[in-house]
Amino acid sequence: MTFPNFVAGQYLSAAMVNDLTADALTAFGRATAYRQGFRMMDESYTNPISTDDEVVIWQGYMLYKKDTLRYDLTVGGSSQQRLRVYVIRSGGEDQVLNLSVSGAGTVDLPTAGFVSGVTGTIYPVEVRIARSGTTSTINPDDDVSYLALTDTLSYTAPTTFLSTDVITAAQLNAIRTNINALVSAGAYIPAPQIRVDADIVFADDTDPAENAARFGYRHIHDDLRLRFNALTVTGGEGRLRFYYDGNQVYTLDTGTGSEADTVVDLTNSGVHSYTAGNIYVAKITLELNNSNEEQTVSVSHRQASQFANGATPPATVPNLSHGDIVTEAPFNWYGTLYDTIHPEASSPTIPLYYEGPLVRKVTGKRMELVHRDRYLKYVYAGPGTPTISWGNGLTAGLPTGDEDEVLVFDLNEISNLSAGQRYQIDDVYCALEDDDASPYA
Amino acid sequence: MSFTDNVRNLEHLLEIKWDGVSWTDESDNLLSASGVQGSVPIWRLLGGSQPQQPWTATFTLKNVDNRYSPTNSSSPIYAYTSASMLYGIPIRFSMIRPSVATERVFTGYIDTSGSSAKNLNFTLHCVDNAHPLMQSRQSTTLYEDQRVDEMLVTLADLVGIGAGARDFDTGLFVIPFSWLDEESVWTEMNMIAQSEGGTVYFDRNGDLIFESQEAWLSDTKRTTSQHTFLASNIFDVMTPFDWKNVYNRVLVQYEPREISGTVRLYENREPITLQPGQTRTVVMRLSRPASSIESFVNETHYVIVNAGGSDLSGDVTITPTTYAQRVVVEFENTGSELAYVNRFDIYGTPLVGAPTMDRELDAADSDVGDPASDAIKLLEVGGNPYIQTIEQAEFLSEILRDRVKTARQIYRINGKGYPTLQPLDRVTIQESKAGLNHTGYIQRVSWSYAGAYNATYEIIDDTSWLLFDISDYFVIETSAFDDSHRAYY
Repeated sequence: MTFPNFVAGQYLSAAMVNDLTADALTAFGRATAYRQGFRMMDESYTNPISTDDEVVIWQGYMLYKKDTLRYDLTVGGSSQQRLRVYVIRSGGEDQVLNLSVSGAGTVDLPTAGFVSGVTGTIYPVEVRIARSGTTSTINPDDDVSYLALTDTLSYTAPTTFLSTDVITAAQLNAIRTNINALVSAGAYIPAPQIRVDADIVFADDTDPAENAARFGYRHIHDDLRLRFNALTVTGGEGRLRFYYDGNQVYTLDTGTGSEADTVVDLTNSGVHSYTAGNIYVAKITLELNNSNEEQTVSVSHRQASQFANGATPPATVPNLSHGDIVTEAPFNWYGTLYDTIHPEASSPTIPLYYEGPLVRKVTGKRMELVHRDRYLKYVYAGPGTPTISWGNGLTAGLPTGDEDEVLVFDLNEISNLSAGQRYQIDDVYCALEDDDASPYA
Repeated sequence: MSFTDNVRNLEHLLEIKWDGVSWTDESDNLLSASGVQGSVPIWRLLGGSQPQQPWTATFTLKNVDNRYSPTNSSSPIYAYTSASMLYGIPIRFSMIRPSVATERVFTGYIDTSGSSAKNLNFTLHCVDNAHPLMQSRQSTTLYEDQRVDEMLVTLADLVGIGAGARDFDTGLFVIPFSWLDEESVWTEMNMIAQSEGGTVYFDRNGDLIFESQEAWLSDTKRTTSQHTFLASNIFDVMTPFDWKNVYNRVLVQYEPREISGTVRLYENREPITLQPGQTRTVVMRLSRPASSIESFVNETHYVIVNAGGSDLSGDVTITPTTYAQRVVVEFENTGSELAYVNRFDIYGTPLVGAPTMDRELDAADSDVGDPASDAIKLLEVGGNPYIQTIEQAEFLSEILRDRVKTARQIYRINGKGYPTLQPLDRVTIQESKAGLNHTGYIQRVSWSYAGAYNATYEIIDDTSWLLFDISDYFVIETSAFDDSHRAYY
């Protein structure tokens, strides 16, 4: 915060207007930020349970910055089973959800029992199955489809100013409030980890009938196109099929080298329609031409509207200097931008994505991230030294600690790691970027 | 009629608060008085890192009976002069136009003094009400996101200047982080005000004034001429140009800061010994200012043992008082054994700073040439720790550039004095011999009184101080968009 609120009778300061512009462009940048795909969260558990113990069926982490947990869980097979979500904290754990039937919804973490959470902390999260009755054995058929931290973001229609209007301090402050709400919500777009090794190495799979999901992720629908960029294919020739919400939307016959960036236009997917804000699964399947071959595919996603040369904010971006004539145009621009990116606006063209999916605990696998925020927070796996790899074969060791300890690395220490650049992390349980090192040293 | 009219038949009132409670009239002993108000030039108030000089006054008093001599035990005020050696005693001085008005000229404290045996007089050199603030060094907690005037209120309260003795504009900026660590309150107040191009000073009545940068547009004394100097009241006028202070490039430094993660901020280097029943206070200076510190936990943050290594933590009470950059810890050993505080660590979330950043601006239309093609004359403003954002630096650099890119006309008027006029007042000069009918702002006043009240006023022409007429600027909730009004800085 640099400027106080506007007040009636105040001389309009160019610096204050330009500060609004800076905040608005920050929100726009967050709406168009690189949105990397993350591994599909689907986790099924069907093994019989015959004890009173809880069985962990999913382990992951949340970067705690919001209080609302969104979930989509399937509980099937027995009325005596429960599906529970726990947040693990130092010295204990808090059960924040206890489902007996399938459900999707949200839960307020402090109300549910997770109190005094420290913002910026990475907390382990577990989903467990439990038996509530006396039946000797239950046969669950449970799925963990989606877990995320999210926020509420209300929409207030912006004022349209006429040339004859006299703008009030309240209207100016409302512009700032609306923009800052977007900036705040947008600050919690995670730069999620993906696994770039085993999950997407397909070997000896020549049966097109299987068509099992080889790679995928949950996606909050925000655009009519998906972009799979940096699509690296090595190994034998084959066919990749792209699915969205269960519908096949694209097919790519791969060679044995890198493929050009691929844009999947969902408007060409026939009769299917999608609703902005809904969560859909995007996935890829692979059919190989020959047996005893394998392909390695590296895929990520970002919003269609910001690839190529990047998205352009609405014209004309306000920038006042001392002595400039003040018109209504700058103040209407803020409204235009607000409606462009606010997901609750009537027709946002670049809706802000402000949900942070929980990331799965990964063991012995390589993470890949796209650099955006200054600090790398990671959960040390041990016993060796984690490494960060970037650029053309450049690597460096990361600080070590105790197993499960959260550590922070200032990515500014890598002078040639630029924003938007991919890099890899080895030998950690979880790696996430954050714009704030707090509360870790 | 008031003091702004022709001044004749003046009387004076000099009062000193010897006992710190009641004012004593010393007028009969006054031989002469003089003083200086204001700093020059006023553009130095923009973003500076040094406090402006407080107003000063000198009073010469009759001392035939050695009334003011601190060594004269027969003086009726000996109890006060001997105790203080006249240092730091409140004093105030007014001019009186009988049956018309009394106007205060100076309010402050005696700073230094001395007698002249030859002339049988005694001289008091005085400083305005900034005097105790210049001596006061304070520590505070870390304040986040304080508006400039809010932080000034915090500091004013700290030194006992209540709401009735101050008048603050609403600040234009919010300072991300502010704190004092045994620093001069007066110096910090100045830097805080100057971080947004404002100014802080004690006026002639002794009130603490903060005027924001917007005061140039909104304060009546700066927007309306407070006095017209006519030829009949001017002894002489000189009109130099201030070429020395013309620049074609300005650079304003700022120091970004942020809160970091928890780290150790202090560790004691040697054991602290506590005799049985002893209370000991230790000042622990932190390596960096802290937003918060962790509570002290035995064996985690400290270890207290006897000579044999047995735990004595239960015998020692620890009472911390936390400031931004120091923790004052009081240890009380309530036990019967000598206790050693072998380890004492303080952990907290520190404020960390990035390297100083520069905001540089050129003035292609400067009187000393375009920096792109001519010699560069750089004005650098830095060292103000309250300039922490690019927005502050941009704001200040643009204002500075417009103020120093051209040579300014200065008027030095020597003539009859007017006690109500103060620095930053807008005034008019009409002097036909010099061809003057101009307005400007008073930068500095040098006044003197020895039966007549005269003064020298240094005035800076207001041309190009504000590049547009005040009525041209856009006012929130007043101007319509189609009024063609302009943005201020």
